[in-house]
Amino acid sequence: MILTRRRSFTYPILSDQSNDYIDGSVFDLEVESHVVESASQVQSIVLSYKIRLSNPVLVDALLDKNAQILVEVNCAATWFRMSHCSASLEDEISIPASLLDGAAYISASLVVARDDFEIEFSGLHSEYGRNFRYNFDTGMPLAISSQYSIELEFAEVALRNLIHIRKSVSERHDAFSIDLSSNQIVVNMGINFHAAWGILYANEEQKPLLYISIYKDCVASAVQALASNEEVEEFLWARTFREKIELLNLKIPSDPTDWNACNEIALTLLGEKGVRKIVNSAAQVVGA
Amino acid sequence: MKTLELLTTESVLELKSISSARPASLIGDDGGVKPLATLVAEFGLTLTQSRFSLDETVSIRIPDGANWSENHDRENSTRIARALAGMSPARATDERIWATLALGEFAEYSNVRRPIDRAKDSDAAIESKFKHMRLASSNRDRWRENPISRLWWLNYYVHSIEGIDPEIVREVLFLNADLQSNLLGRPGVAGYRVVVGPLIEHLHSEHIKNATPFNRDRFREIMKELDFLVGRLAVGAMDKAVASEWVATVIERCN
Repeated sequence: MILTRRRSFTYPILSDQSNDYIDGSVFDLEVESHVVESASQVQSIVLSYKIRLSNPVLVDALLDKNAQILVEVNCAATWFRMSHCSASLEDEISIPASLLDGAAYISASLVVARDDFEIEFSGLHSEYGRNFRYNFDTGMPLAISSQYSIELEFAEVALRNLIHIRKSVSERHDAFSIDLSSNQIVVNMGINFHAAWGILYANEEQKPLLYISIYKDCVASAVQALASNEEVEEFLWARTFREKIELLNLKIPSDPTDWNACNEIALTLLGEKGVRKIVNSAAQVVGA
Repeated sequence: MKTLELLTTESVLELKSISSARPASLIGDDGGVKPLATLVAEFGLTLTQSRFSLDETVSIRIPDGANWSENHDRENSTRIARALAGMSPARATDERIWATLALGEFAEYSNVRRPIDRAKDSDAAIESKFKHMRLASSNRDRWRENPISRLWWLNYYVHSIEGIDPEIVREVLFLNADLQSNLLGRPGVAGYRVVVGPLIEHLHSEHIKNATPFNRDRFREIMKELDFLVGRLAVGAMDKAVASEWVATVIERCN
């Protein structure tokens, strides 16, 4: 799950990105996706969503049809965007598979469905004062969910799917370079370097060394590219690392030239497979 | 129709690697990019049969000049769609297709529309141009840089706007390079066809029917304002009439 970038509004918004509501009110979205094939063998991606809305004032707005649920599906790779309006908190959306590729992002909002609709809120932060009221027009959001991302390429993204090692005659024999311009991080290795990598990769005891050297450099370069705000978000590796970094409550460095910070994040992300594996296996030897 | 033989993914990666390490080696004696057959032979690249077909009877027009009015993009966008009939958006994200066509079947066109020239370009420029204008890794490369993929994707966009004659959209989209890149370069707006429809109708009426000259600065202002507001309003919930009125208000405000 990737969090929506923060936006500011001049009135309270129910969202896990804001603290406007302090009474435990929630607006969250769950999505399940599956592929169905019609009799004529046309494939569709079916997205089943379920929204949890717990604030009584906003629930009433939905039930009274003063507000509606808007679910949006966006796939940048294919220029696809769909807006689905509904009065229901649960529904299904079917999209021809030929219109989607890479990642699809799904988000939900509760939006006002008529002009001149006044709400007297409940459960708000004290900064709004008592009995805060606001007058809304059509289309103004009242609640915004986090954004779900569905990877259409891989059911589960493993590191081996994100880093592609290749032998390249164009590289200097003892060197390697990292190319971040596709879904996978491509490591172009010169002939000798590739042979050295092969030796380490084939040996279970030495394999963790890759995670504190070559793979670590790949991930650190990826973090640096994310920090630079380069146009990389569309790539699978970028989405996967950003999600992982957010899950671990780490922060992408604000300064992309801060290599130490990028390095530290990479070592943290790969710690299990690298430094800790080496230390643990040494400890076993010592203890044996 | 002939079945397309495409560069393999490994071969595309090798071309990327070569363009970083030895960009000049991609250039032939005539100063332009070497033909695909030469690149294949010289760098040991591989072509593989694909499930895509190309109608060889459809050609694309070589630009008559560097000027926007001489590039034939508008006409060529329909031609490339005919040549690649049956291509879907999901398949058209495949970089191998566009790299192979730009370097192979449509190399002559590519060399005129998106020239890479040893006499004018530094090694760094050759690397950058080759990666973006012959290969097509990113979404932006596909709709903007690679000379073949951009024609297909622009044609796809033309037909994706519901409730409006595609030829009206095409006229507007191919009116001006700045209009095209400002509109499509703001995916937050361009993705909302309900907003783009009325915007296209307005641009058509102003610049084509009434022949008012296109004002780049004003259009940038309109797009900036729309982009800002689209992030704060649930425009996806608007019906066409409401969206039209809203777009008209924004345009009026930017006058």
